[in-house]
Amino acid sequence: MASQRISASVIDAEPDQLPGKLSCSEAYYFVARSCCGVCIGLRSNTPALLGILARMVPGSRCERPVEVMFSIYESSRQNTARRYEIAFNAKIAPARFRLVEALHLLRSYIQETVAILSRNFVLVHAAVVGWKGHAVLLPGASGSGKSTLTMALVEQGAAYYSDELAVIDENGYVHPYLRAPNLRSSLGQEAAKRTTASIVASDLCPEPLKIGLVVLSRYSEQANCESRTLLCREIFFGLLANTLAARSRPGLSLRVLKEVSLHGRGVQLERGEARIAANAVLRMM
Amino acid sequence: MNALARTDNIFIQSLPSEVILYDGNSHRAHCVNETVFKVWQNADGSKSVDELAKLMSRDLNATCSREIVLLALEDLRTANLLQDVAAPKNVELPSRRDIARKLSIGGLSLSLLPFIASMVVPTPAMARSGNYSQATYEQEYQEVLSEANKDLLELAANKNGSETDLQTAISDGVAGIEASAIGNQTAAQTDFANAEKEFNAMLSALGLPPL
Repeated sequence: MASQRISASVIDAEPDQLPGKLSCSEAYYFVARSCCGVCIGLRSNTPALLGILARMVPGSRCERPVEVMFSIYESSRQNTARRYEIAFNAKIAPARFRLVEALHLLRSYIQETVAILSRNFVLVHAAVVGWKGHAVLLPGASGSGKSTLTMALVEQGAAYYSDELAVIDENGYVHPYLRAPNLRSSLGQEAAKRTTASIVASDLCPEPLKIGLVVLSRYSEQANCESRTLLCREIFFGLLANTLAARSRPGLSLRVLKEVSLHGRGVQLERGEARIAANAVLRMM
Repeated sequence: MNALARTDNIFIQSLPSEVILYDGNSHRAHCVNETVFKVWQNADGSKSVDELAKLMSRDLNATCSREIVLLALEDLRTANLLQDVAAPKNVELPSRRDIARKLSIGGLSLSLLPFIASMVVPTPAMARSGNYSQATYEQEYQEVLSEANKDLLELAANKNGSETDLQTAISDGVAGIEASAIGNQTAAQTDFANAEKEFNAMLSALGLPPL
């Protein structure tokens, strides 16, 4: 198959629209996305990889010049296992990864970069659902059970906004960060597929919502959903502990978090099973 | 040497009854109450502790003792919110519990007690993993408040007993004066001794030192 040289500025199409298979060493596929006001370029040497990368970044096509470029290349095979290289702008990471590791790293870099470069939004590591015209924020680190609780809330009728990042503007409104939920394998592949399909089928671009409730939850098997109302400073610190770009954008971060802490209620919840916790959270609204 | 606040690379954000001070040098966020914030604001290197106490009393519209200012300065020093000034020598720093007790007894608001809660502001990786430690004085502050509230309850319970002691002390004092007036010095001395004993019992119930 003849190879085709393609330059970065020429290609700006969805990967499944591109013809043929290209030579890995000379050509690549490219798409630009606008995420939280930051124009991100995504590049890969295979359309399938580019498709996966593009699905990790919610947002619309970007017409402006790209501010930052992320790339993933299928590079070689080691003992029949495929290996991948990743790059941030012109810098290639000095290692080759398996696909899952490479995508995980890229996702983290993309989120951090968007958080740092975004001029009008503060990104907080939190799940978000909408309920009765207000947003419920569930801040927490990776693996703290946010996605599980989010899915339980969605199953009870809440609107899905995000299971990973809360995108908050300067007026304290949270915007959707729509990406397929990142559910751990314990929930089961079927449950993951079902919830993803229902999310995709629902309103794809929900309206920004004022934050009504911030829930700092801790999982414990024996917990009985006991809750305690948080003081303003506790809500503030709870959010600050999960704010991605607090160090690089302290002025914006403090302003936005103050807006949320003043106008939203906060509770600390000792939660057990997700369905019961979801019920308790929705009753608080 | 007078205390001087650090203001370089400090971001300030006000909450309803507290203020957040974010230190861009150490990447620590401190939540301070009005007492600590006013001390920090007024510590411009030209005011002594007593002058700060006077200013605070005027600004907060409440009696602010020298001990409160000393405790607030110590909190600020620990949080690295003061310029490089060593703690004053030969000055015994008051304990938070003692100040809380005095505020309770004096009928003053416990919100005057200096308060500071601090946390390390995370990097993006830390925020994602939640893997970092938070230093906070909040727990100690809550314990002190709880102790002070217990003191108040105890005071209220002792109040009736204290009033009786006071009345008895006054009666014995009056009896002593009458005995002295008619020349019965022995009886007068006994009455005055009893009056002193009852008055000291009342002071003890209120947590105050005896005469």
